[in-house]
Amino acid sequence: MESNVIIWGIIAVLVLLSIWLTHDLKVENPGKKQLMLEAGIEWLENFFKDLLGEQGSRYTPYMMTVIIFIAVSNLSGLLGFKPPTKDMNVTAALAIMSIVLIEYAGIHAQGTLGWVKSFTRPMALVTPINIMEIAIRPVSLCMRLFGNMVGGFVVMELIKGICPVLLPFPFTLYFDIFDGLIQAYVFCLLTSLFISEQIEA
Amino acid sequence: MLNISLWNMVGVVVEVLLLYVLLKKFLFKPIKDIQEKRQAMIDGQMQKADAANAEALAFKEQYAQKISGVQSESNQILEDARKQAKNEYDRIVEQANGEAGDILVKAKKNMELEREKAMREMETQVADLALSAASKILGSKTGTDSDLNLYDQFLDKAGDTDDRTLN
Amino acid sequence: MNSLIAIGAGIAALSGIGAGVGIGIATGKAAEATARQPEAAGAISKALLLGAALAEATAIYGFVIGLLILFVL
Repeated sequence: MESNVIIWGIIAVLVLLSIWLTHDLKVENPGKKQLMLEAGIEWLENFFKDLLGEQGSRYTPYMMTVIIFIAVSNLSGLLGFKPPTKDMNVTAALAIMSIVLIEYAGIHAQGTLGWVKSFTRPMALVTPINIMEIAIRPVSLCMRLFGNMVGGFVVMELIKGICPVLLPFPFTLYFDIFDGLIQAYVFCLLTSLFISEQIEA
Repeated sequence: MLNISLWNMVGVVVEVLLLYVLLKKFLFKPIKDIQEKRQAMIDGQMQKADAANAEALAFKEQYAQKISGVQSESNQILEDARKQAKNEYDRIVEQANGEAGDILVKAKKNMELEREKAMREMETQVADLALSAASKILGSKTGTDSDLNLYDQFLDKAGDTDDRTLN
Repeated sequence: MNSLIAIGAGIAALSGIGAGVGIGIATGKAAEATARQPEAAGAISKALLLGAALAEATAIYGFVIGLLILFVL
């Protein structure tokens, strides 16, 4: 329950931040703030466009939303909040959305019949494995994100138990910032890869 | 943390979808709009620059054409002048030739006339001489001496010319 | 009973060995590849991240199972 509240807070902060960032966009002579914003958004967009290909570019905004959301959620632990991604409900919901989007992309790109047929690829023998993958992929996504966040949290708690001063600082750098960003990246990278696999299959 | 509840998950799904809609509206769309506007502006400027370039090129072409036209015109004028001068020269030379020929012909004719006149005069003189000699012979009739004398006289008078013609 | 649960959790945590070996091999190969072809560093690091994430999953499963054993059972 607590994580839902934090997610609402994250949504509010993100929306207010984007309104503040985009309220004075200029066509000519953009300021430093606008340049950084545009460069960041463009980097994300190109990253997902590369992964998803021309056909999958319609899913780019969703993937950008998810990567921003997960990154902010993971980093919210730095401000003393309980990161929402440390709650399995949140990661499970994100993983379920991902698998729904992946299968939707497959149906949209190949048609229902083509999507059903794609389970027999590369040969009929692997059909059970392909069907199992529908369950395995979201579980894997969910557990990876959740396990990394909880693992980082547990290790940090242990380190803080040993020595609460100075020592946690470099570990915070790794477990909270680096790992948080890497996990957001990996979650979206894998979802995009699965989507492009569905589109191109 | 580990206990999963369906309602929590539904809540998260709704929240993420809401975040998707809001971010699309407030973050991605304005940035896309501004980038498209900038692209349009750049395209417009490029187009304008292209148009200006094409115009300048056209002007250049026109000027080049004009310059080459002027050159050919001046060439033409020069050619014309040269031709005219040559014509004039030819005409003058021809005229002069003709005149010279005329003068020559006239001079020849004059000379002929003169000669004829001189011949005729000579003939009349010879006739006169013959006549006067005949009259002298008829008048004196004094023997062979006088005949001889007369003959000498005649020879004296006409011999020079005869000699000259004979020799 | 409590000690058995703790032992189970400890065994579950052993799954980290596989992940450690796997990620180590992957990173070593990636470093080799980058040294051989520095211009392909971007593609290599992307593949490395993907592989590391997939290899890491086993360790994460062990960790989650350990947590489940400790807190849910």
